[in-house]
Amino acid sequence: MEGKYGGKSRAGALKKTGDGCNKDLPAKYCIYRDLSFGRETPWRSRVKTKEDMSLLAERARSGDPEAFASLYEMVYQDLYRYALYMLGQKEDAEDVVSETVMAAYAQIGQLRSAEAFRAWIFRILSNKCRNQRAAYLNKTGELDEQMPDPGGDFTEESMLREAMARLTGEEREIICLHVFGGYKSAEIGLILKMNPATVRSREHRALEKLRKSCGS
Amino acid sequence: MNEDLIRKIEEEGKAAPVPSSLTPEAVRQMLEEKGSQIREEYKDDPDVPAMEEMPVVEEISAEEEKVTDVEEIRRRALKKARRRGFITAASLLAAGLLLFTGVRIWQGSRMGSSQASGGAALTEEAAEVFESPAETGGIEKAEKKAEEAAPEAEPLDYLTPAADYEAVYEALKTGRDTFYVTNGAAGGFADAKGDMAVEEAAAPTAEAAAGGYSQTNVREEGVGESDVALTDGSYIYTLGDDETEILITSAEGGDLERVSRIRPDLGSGSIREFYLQGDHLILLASYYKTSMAQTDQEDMFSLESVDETHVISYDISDREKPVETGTLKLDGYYRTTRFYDGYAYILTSTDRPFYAALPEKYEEETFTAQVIPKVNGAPVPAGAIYCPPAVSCMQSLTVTGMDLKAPGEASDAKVFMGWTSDFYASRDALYLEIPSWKGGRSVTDIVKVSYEKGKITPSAVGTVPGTLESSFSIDQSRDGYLRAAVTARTDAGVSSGVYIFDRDLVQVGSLTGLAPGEEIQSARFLEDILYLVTFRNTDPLFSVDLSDPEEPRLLGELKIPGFSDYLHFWGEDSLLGIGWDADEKNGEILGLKLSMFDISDPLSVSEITTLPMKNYWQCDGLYDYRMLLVDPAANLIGFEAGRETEEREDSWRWKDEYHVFSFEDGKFEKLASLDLEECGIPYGARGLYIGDTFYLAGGRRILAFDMEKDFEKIGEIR
Repeated sequence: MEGKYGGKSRAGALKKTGDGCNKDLPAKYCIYRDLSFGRETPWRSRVKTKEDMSLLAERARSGDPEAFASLYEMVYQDLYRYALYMLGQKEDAEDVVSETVMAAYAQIGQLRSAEAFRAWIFRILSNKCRNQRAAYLNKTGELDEQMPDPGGDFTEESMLREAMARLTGEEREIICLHVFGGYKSAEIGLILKMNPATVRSREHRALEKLRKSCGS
Repeated sequence: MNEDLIRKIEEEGKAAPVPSSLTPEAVRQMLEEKGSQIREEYKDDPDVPAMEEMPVVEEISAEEEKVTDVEEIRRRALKKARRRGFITAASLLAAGLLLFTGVRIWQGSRMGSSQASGGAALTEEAAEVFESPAETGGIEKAEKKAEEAAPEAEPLDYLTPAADYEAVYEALKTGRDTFYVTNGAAGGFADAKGDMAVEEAAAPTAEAAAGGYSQTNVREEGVGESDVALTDGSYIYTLGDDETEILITSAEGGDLERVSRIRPDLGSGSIREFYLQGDHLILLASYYKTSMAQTDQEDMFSLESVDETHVISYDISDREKPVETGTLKLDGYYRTTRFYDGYAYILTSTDRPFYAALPEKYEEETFTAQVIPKVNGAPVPAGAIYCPPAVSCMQSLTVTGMDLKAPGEASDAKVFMGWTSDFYASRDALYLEIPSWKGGRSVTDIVKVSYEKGKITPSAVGTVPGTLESSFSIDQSRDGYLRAAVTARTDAGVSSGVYIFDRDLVQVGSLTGLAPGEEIQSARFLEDILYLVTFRNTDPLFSVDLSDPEEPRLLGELKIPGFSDYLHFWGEDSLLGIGWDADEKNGEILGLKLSMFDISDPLSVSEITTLPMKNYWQCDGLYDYRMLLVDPAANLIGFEAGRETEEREDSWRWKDEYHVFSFEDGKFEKLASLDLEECGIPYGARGLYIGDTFYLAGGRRILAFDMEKDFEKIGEIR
């Protein structure tokens, strides 16, 4: 229990504030299933109490930076990767995630539960990425779905990222929501307002495109 | 095959290091130093969605997790039922195939539509307590008060139109104050199989296609629906690959010839689907155009976007020269359309800025521009807007009528505030399903919207105490009763039930406690019998007699491994099920499965035959019934399915195929298995037929196969 971010224990992070209520983790544990869409990320496999999570949400709602950062820790890598693959540029991705964090913190008062945090902050991020894409305008003044040439950001290893740039915005979004957001097609359908079959067929088409341009 | 590409992207993503400014520690520090500044600066950020608009996967309580032994539950329920003497004759019939389920059968109380609603009564308490969301303690108080107030709140009222736009504004404001922090206001999206049918399902047409060609698989007989590939017996109409054009191809056996194409101006939008009636072709499309406008500052542009749904009508009496006859423009994104009696009823939803942008004071012009949907450029008048006293979100649904003979004009339009998750259309009414939260659990409000000759009028409101799995889950009987197959989640666990409502959506009867611990997977109403599939490890197929609306009776239960996702009547005596095969012991899905049930005697349903399709993990038709070809009169079952094949160790290939079966002598016969990659239709393939020729259509490609000659390919067009 290092009690620092990057450390192993959630309880440690909570203890650090000297908050008496969580001095000893309650004896009764239940495997906490992350109920905000999607798949396993490392922290979720750790045993966690429900009391922990609701305490965390309560403190985050009241504006506690540490509690917010704890929630953020659970999703931050996925957030950055999503932005990176959506926008293709490290700097833009960093800016957009940073904006997302600040907007989320400012309106964290409406957080319903710790479980809902992930989907909610992803929604903010996805909206901001869309705005960012809308800012890539071509000469005729109409929205060009393809991103500008990413320039020096790509090495051989990131051929995939470059190939992503050649997809349409929607195709990229579906893949990013799936891979980094961890959403299933029905959930993506809700976010993008399509039916799940359309999501899957578009993803299939997008992956075919990617495969061709990577030659794999 | 695509799975490994997904994994590659994932792996590569993991290799990208997160910048140091974005680590949790850095964020924590930044928030500690500049927290209040950030709050001030970003408090109105419009990219932040309101919590209650977030769809929520239902929480599974620890108690539910403990319920693993269904048999044990059944045994206990059986004991209870026996004590009350409610054993039905059905349970004792049919050796070996029927299992008595020990269902608790009791009469639903005659409940009026007085279900608690998160409505008006909450508003005062909430308004008092909830002034500034950031205050600690205020939120908890609001939550408690909201929960306490819930049982006494007034019912929803979607039947009285708004007096003026300001009334709509007030409802939104009250909703924001009420639902801003209370739990799960717009939650309740059941995630039974990891996917939710957003589109509706349809009733079958039992008769053969008139003139011997395939028709769109619809939810309700007589109520038309649009699709992406159609035929009228002489021509095949398809949606082009990029969804910007409709292609008309003449089809005579294997001779396919492109006759014309329709390519409307949609900005950067796309055609969603289309409908054909005689010589009228109607397109449902999204129109999207974003342009820059110069602002005062140099190098700064503002983005203006138009995001509409266009209903474009064409006269195609000359198939070679389609002529546009009118365009109806609707605000918002496209949901679905139903066609009946020469009229189209188009449903669109608006997605307005979130609560953060709802101004503190009402100002007519901006409010109208922001919130009120437009039809052909004109805002819908307040007298056509319906909403409950407190609207939980800014979404709204518009139902617009159009006379097919008066293209481009709306015969009527009505707006319903709130989030409609799904709908069902009978021949005289549209039922809107609005997820809600009452008495601490997910319920679904139903708004009955009657329609006739283009006129649209809400006529009743009711509530089902649970969620509806798909639009097959509700059905209107011939005498106007609404029957609903509902999955209910309470602290006691999950269970399935049937509820019956009269014309005014007052509940008159119910049958609950069916298969405790199991959710409804599929349902199909045939006249007065409901066939219901639930699932935990095995698939009980229940048949429920609804002939007496006040006393629904369980007729029988058939227990088989796996479950059917889609049920379709096959002739008079049989029921086709397309679904999943599962391991009886642990419920693990093994692949797709076709089943045919004998329902000639609803008291004694049996399985005639089953055909497992091992390793098939995907069948998109189960999420959009229009993708299925099920034609009992022509004896054809067609659907797309995907499977994994192991070619080398550790390397999997994904194969997409279109399968055609018939049902002969009590068995499923495979007529064809078409490799979609080879056919050049990687996704969205539709099966159609004209006479003895089977066509596989998708985008620009159509392939023709001779059904008399073992599906020999006799033509194609690219």
